[in-house]
Amino acid sequence: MTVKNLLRLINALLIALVIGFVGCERELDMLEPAAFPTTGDVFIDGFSGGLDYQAFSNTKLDAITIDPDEKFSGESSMRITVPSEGDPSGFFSGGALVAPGGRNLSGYDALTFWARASIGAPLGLVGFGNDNSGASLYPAARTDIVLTTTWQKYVIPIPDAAKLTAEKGMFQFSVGAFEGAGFNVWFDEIQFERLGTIAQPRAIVTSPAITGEVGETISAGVTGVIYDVNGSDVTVLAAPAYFTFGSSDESVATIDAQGNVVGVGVGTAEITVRLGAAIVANNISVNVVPAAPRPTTTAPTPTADPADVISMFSNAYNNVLIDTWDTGWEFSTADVQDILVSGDDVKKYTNLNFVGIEFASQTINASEMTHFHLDIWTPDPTAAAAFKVLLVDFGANNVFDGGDDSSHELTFTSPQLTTENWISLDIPLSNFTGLVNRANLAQLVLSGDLSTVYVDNVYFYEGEVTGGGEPAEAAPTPTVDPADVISLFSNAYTNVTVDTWSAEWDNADVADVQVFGNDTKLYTNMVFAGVEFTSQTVDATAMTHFHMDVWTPDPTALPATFKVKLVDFGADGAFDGGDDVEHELTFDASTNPALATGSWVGIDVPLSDFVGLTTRANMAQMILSSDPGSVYVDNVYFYTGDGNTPTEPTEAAPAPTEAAADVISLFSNAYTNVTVDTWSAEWDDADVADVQVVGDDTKLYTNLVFAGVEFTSQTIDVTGMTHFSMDIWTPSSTAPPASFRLKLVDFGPDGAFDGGDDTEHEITLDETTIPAISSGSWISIDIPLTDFVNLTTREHMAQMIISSELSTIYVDNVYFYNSNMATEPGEAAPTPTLPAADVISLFSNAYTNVTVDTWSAEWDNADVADVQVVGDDTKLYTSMVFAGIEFTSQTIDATAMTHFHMNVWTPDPSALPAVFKVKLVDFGADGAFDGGDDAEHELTFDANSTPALVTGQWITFDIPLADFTGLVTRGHLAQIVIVADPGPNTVYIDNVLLHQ
Amino acid sequence: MIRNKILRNKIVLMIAAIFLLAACSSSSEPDEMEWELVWEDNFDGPAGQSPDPAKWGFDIGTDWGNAQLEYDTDRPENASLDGQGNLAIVARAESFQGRNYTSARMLTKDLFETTYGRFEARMQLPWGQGMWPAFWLLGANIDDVGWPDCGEIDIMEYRGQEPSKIHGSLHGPGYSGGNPVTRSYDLPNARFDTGFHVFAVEWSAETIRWFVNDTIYQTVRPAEVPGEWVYDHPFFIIVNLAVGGNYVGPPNASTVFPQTMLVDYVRVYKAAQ
Repeated sequence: MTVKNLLRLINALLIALVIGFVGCERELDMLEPAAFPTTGDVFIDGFSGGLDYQAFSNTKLDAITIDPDEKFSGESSMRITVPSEGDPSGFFSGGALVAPGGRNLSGYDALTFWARASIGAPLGLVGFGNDNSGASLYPAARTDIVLTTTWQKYVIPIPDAAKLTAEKGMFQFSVGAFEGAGFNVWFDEIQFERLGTIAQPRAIVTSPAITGEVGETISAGVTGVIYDVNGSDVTVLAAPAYFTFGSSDESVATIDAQGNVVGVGVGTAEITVRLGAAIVANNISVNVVPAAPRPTTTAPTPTADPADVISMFSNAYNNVLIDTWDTGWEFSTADVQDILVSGDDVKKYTNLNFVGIEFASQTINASEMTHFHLDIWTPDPTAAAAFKVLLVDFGANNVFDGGDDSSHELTFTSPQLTTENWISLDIPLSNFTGLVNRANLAQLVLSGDLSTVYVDNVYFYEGEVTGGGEPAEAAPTPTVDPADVISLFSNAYTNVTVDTWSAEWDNADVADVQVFGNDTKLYTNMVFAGVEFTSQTVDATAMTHFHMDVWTPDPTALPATFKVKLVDFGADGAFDGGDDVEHELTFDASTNPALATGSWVGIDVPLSDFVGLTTRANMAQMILSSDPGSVYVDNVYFYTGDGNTPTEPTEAAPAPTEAAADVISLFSNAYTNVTVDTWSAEWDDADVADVQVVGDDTKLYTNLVFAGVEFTSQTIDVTGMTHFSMDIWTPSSTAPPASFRLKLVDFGPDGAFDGGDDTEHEITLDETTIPAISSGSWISIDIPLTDFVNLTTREHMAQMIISSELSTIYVDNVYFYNSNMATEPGEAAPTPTLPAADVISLFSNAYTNVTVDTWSAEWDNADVADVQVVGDDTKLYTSMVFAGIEFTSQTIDATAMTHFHMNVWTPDPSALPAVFKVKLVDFGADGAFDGGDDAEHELTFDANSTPALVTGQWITFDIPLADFTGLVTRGHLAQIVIVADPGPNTVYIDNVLLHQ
Repeated sequence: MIRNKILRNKIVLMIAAIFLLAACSSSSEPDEMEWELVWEDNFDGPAGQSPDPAKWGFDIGTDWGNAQLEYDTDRPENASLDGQGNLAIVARAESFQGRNYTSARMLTKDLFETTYGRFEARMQLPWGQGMWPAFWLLGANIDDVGWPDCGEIDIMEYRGQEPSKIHGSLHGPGYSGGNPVTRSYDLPNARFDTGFHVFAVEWSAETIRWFVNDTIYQTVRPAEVPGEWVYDHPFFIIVNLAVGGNYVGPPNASTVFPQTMLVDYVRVYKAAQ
């Protein structure tokens, strides 16, 4: 069944095949055989001549790119961008390469290609034979090939190439997010080949033993072929048209071109399946029993919009993957058979006591859905019978019985149940009250007194909830300290006076209700509601955040919105006195927080997000505008956060110190700025305002997703510059996964966008990088332009693009500069002057050095090179995370020594969190690693230590060995380990020695 | 096949391959020879008939020193004519004499033994993990001197999980079991289980040469074996289909049974005088 569903995914219109086939035959009979080209190339370095790319409907339309940077061979590959879950541009990527004139592929035996992905992830479906016309006869595909991050060749056998004499579908793919994440897939060298190594086809038969009634149509479930490809089994899903079906006794059962068996007379027969001349299955037994009452009409055709449906089983929709329609659990006596009722696929359960239906391998997220639907038909008496439907959610951990499972069973009885009728069960999900989560639905269990049940149209959908659901629990109780709160409405706090929760002028009704004992406001017939506290305005200047909880039974899918406007009456304390300020925030299913149906949504936003609300001393109104007509509201209050995170900078960004002559400034009061066309391009997703911070001009970005800064009219030549600098300040949380991404774009010699010579590079900063991002303080971003590795041209800089999860960012002092700073030492390290007799030298031109086995052990994470600095031998470490220096073959007896000495020079930033750690290791008396007597100690140096880490100067470490307190023995020193994580990653080292 | 139970060592195989490559690079083109047919079985006869007992005997039993999993029988279910001019050796998954598989191992010992000549068979091989068909020669003095001193010439060995590759080998004193003189041959753009192919050696006092469909892929001279040359006395012929064993590994869930090895003919020629 699983495979069947997948096949539906390939092409929803296989059903139309019979008609299409007859039409084709007639035409072909009258025509001379056309000379279709036999070209095998599909994509080598570009699409083979004449091929069209056609995205499947409801997929990301711009998923496909010719990528010259990443290829298996030749000039370029075909890159597929797979959207992450919830990406508005599409739920998955999928499409076909179509040869409109058709090709003759009968000389090939496989479609082959090379592929890799940006992460290890399954390629949902890939194959050929689908020309995206909806009437393809010969779709074939492999599913769930797990791609790796390295290029590998994949083979898709052609089930019967003799059929493909005029095929248009050259290539098809369909791939969705992996564990919610988007990724890239690269294809290269896609071509049809004759490999000669493909043999031994065996049909995939889902029902090797079929039981059906006289007159009943049963699917034999022939869904594909398993081939031996060079010694390994490869499974290809293949359309019925590839196969030829035969029955051993047509007086018992016949089988049609689609592989559907029809019971003719009581008895047994055997079904044979051929692929060309080869018999690929000959052991499908059919047992035909006498006719019994069964549905003669199809179940009502579902009417829900496919966009609002997650279907498990229905010919009306594309179905998701169901692992099994009969788990075969212990004590279950149920059998399931795929049958057809007037051409409509139906599941027929017999001997049903209970049956497990499982979809754990790809759980269903029905959070956005409101209803569960299934149609059932039974020949059994229903007057005293029950039929039960149980849904099971595996919870966030996605594991059965992982501690967060939830489930609920509903029981249906007469008069809802009737005999020999299709019964549509259309159940609000809110009725499954124990099913507290439905983001990881994994099982459906049917049980009860009905022994024979036909099942069709099993799906979740999002529809109108009539009768208005209500919350199954109270809104979460607030936890903020009452001292930090000004509450308008909450049982948790003392509330200020609110004049009305539904002003006369509004368009809503409000009622005071209780939800599980908790006072709650219920708005109905809501368009917009005015909440007024004008008689005693609220001074929220000390507050940082606004909070409210809302719950709605109504649909919340886009474009539904819920808006919150806060109004301050200004210093005059009166409406419309000329100094009123206000700001409205809009929430929908795609915002954070996201609007949702049937669950409490906590709206908890910094007051700084209400950008227009520039005064807050005389707050007087809150206006709620809602598409959902029924909304429960609770816990409406202002609060001040932890008190440590201001919502706006209290001081200006640090003034730059670079000489004006070395600077090209985009934005700074310290310099003359070049022309910037816009600080928020039309195509971006951000708002920008010019504000002043303690008199300093600053850009304030709000609602930032990504912001485009353009200076295209006068591009900037920064070839003489070495660094890019900007200061940012954010009140938003920088906790992971938040990051700040900065992209610089050069338009290349043509000076124009996308002329083929654009170059760009994006730098990502987070809490762990240098510099680290953090809330509530100015962060100086100072990055060598060489770090923008892919920005290979810098003569026509034209764009800067900021993207971030930090929705509010203040920006100042954006400029390029020339540091005149050396990237390598300009002088040798100071020459040590200690007498040689007092020194054991590991590395110095001033002394004779002892044997060091390696300066970068195999197990370390660093590169080392021998360089000369003004004639002095020096070790240069690059890409250093940690470096192992070993002298194990001749350990050093340092018992007579008192100090460890080393000179260090780095061009990298030395401000925190940069650290430089030195560990000394002694192997103990046994002179061997890990013999139980090893001793070691690590010292950490940073910008604040002694000596301090500094950039661009030789630093002399001369450390008493006594400081290495854990180094209790020194008779067999064997290792030095240097750790520089997160930096400095480039370090020159000289004069490594022990002395007394 | 007689082997010890030491699993083959890849490194040893690689070294042997390099050695053989070097040896082969100096070989000259094979001379055209005139051959006279001296022995043959074309396996003509009705379906289900056992092979001619005047030409073939059976080894009945199991393991054979290679940890083979099948029990070899002389039943028609495991070895009989197919009525279309072929011998069918059929490996079956069935419980028999304490084993889970049956098959057959046919030999000309005491019926036809000879020194030198061209030995060839036309065969279509089985497929799938764990299938190990072979066409080979064993020194007729094995009961006196033992193995490997008797010598073994493997004209064709094959692993079902590598359907486009066969191997030709020599086992003798100092180079046996996991360490034979061996070379493999890959059939370009085709497989050995989808049609008939001719496997042969041409054996003289000077050389042993291996062929697939008239393509020579290995030549070994007495000086080139890393031990004694034990190929100047009579040998007999063995045709068998093993299931599992050290050489091939056991069948797995995707191995399809029954599996059939078809032999169109086995022929022996002598060089014309």
